[in-house]
Amino acid sequence: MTIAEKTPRLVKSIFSNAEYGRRNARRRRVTFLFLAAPALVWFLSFMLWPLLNMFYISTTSWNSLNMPKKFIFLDNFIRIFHDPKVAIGLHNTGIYLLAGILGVIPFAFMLGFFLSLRKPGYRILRTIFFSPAMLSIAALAMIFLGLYRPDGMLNSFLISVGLPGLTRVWLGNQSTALGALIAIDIWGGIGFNSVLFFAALANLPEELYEAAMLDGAGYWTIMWKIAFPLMVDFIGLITILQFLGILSGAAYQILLTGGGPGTATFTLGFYLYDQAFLSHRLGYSQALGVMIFLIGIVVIILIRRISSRASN
Amino acid sequence: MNKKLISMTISLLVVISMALTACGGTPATTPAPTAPPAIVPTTVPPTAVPPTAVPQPVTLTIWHNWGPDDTKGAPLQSVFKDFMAANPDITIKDSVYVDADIPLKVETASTSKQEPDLVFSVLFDGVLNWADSGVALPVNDYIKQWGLDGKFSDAALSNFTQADGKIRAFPLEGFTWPIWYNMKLFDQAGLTIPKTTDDLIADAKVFRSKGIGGPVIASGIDGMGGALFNLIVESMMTDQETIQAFGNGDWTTPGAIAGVKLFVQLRDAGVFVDGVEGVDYASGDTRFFAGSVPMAHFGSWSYTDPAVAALAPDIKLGGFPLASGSPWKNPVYFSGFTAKGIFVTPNGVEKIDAVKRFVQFMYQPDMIARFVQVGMAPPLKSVTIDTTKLPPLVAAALDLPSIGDTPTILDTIMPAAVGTDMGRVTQEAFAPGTTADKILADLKAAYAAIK
Repeated sequence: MTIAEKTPRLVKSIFSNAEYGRRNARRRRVTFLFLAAPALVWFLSFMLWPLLNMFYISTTSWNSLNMPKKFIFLDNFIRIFHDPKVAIGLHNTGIYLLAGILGVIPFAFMLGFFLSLRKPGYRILRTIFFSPAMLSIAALAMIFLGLYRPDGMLNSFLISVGLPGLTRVWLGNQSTALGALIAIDIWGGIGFNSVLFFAALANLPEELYEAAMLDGAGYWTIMWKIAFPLMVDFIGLITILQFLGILSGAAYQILLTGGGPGTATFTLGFYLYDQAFLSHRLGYSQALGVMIFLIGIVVIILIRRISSRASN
Repeated sequence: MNKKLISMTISLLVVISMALTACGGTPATTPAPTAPPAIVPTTVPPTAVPPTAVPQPVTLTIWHNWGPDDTKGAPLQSVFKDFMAANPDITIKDSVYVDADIPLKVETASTSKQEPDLVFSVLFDGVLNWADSGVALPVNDYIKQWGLDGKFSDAALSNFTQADGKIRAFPLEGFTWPIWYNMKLFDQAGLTIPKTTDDLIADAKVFRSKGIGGPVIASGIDGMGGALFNLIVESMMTDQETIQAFGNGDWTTPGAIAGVKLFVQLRDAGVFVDGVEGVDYASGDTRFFAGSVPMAHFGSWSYTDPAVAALAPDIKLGGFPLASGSPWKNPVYFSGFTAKGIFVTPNGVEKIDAVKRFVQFMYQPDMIARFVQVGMAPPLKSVTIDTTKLPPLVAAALDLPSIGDTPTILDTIMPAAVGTDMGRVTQEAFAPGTTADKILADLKAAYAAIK
């Protein structure tokens, strides 16, 4: 049989294979959609829909759950640009983020590295470090309220060690209130994140450390020259989590300071809470939510880019 | 496949956004939720029920904050018990919540029509809008139809009446909020109750020299200290100026400026305990009740608090001393009826006969007297109580009207949206170094922000 004779059969075969391939692909697609449908429905119903609703509510004037909404399009966003409290919130949130990230991540990493060396007693230390995460925020707030009171433990300690000049009204003083709240986050964040770092560092091959030690490297060098570069992606992830927690969080402001004194602890997250639950401006609160959401996305992209560049 | 999936997802999103757009268009035109009529008639007049009919069992749900730890908890349970004994067809199912949480809980429940039939709530903040938003119904007609007309005191009714005449709820808890003087400490320092702020400043020096410290404790870090700030500022303002400032944000009147300046003067003269800006309500309570601070600003809800029992014999109630130039004649303290009202919800209207019977039962003078015995100021014109059996501070509070004057209470005039800003400004005001100008500027800014 010549090629010319074979051609129609070949073409037919190719076409039938292509037909088969198409059918197979369609079948695979249907199966994929069928299997993915529950997750997709879940995502649309419980993730995307509320998110879209937030965008929608941000375009309304809605002053109580029981009052009708009024569509005002971008008025809430225009107001954000003229609202001095947003500027105050951004300023305080910026300080909070800077201190909350720089004060947590490096120390958590170092502590996680120390734990990953599995020195005697590391299990107990790991449990102790993780314990703040097991306490409810309300309980933590009570602990720190007791600590920060004018006659509380911190001032009593300072007096007992001969430093009465350093005593402050920690939560009631404009110059110390924000720092006092950040300190709670740093205290809890270092311990919690160190356990996460420990879990990630524990997966690094021990040979790397051993080889470095044979070359005469100490723990400090190993931590920063070997473990750190290998953990850059993970550090990026932890930074994102820490960033998101601070950006949208307001628990300690709600429980301890009410955003005050004055505007000392007034952050964007607290402003959103304030507008939604205290001032009953639901539409405006969601506009603030959209703003926080957008800031979050931009910064996450930025952190991802920095960490992937550093990783490369 | 990816492209198809993406296009499908986009289509889905488009459908959703179209649906959203449709939703987006509606609110402007959507009518308000079926608003209750301004004056709601009783749905089933008692005469409509045949006298021979066997009453159907009804459960009346009530949300309140008078739990076992509240001095009014026991009297309330006794009223419930007696009411159910007298009305065996009605069962009361009550739930106790934190006072400040009740408004949001009710509003949320109301959106799904799951709200209780009756709510005992403070009249403040968002609750002020309930009669307009339909969370609760005006009770004007109920008062007339249920034989309560003329029984409430004018002051109580006035606190609950909106500008348009709607009565938001049945007034229940009146309060007095005076200054508590620990006479044991005053005697110890050889002092008497100060009549003027100059006396108070002089007393503060004596107390400090004797190691007792600043004489006035307030919770500078939370809202309760804010009440003392308001009282001191109002002591220099006429009622008209108070409404202008706290109601409309006009902090430029002479009284408002003088009031804030007085507060700063007192703070800087050491009248408050050291570190007052960091004192929270709980620790302020504890320190005063422990007998270590001469003066505090507590309300009638604490008169029969077990923690006060040991200290009560040493306490004298009075007003805050006046500065020269004050428009008031006597020391000032707060008094009002906004501490609690009984709100009838749309679900309550569905069981209006049971609600009527409960309300009529509750507002019998001997029932209200049970609460008066534990410190509540009665909302009724006439309540008979045996004054010889009153706890000491409850009895002492009866003399307050002859001792002091009562400036306007702010619960019903201060806009809800400004509340949290006011809290932060007053926190700041307690902190040393905050000038009167700064406080006034922040107060103006707080009101400007809500316009």
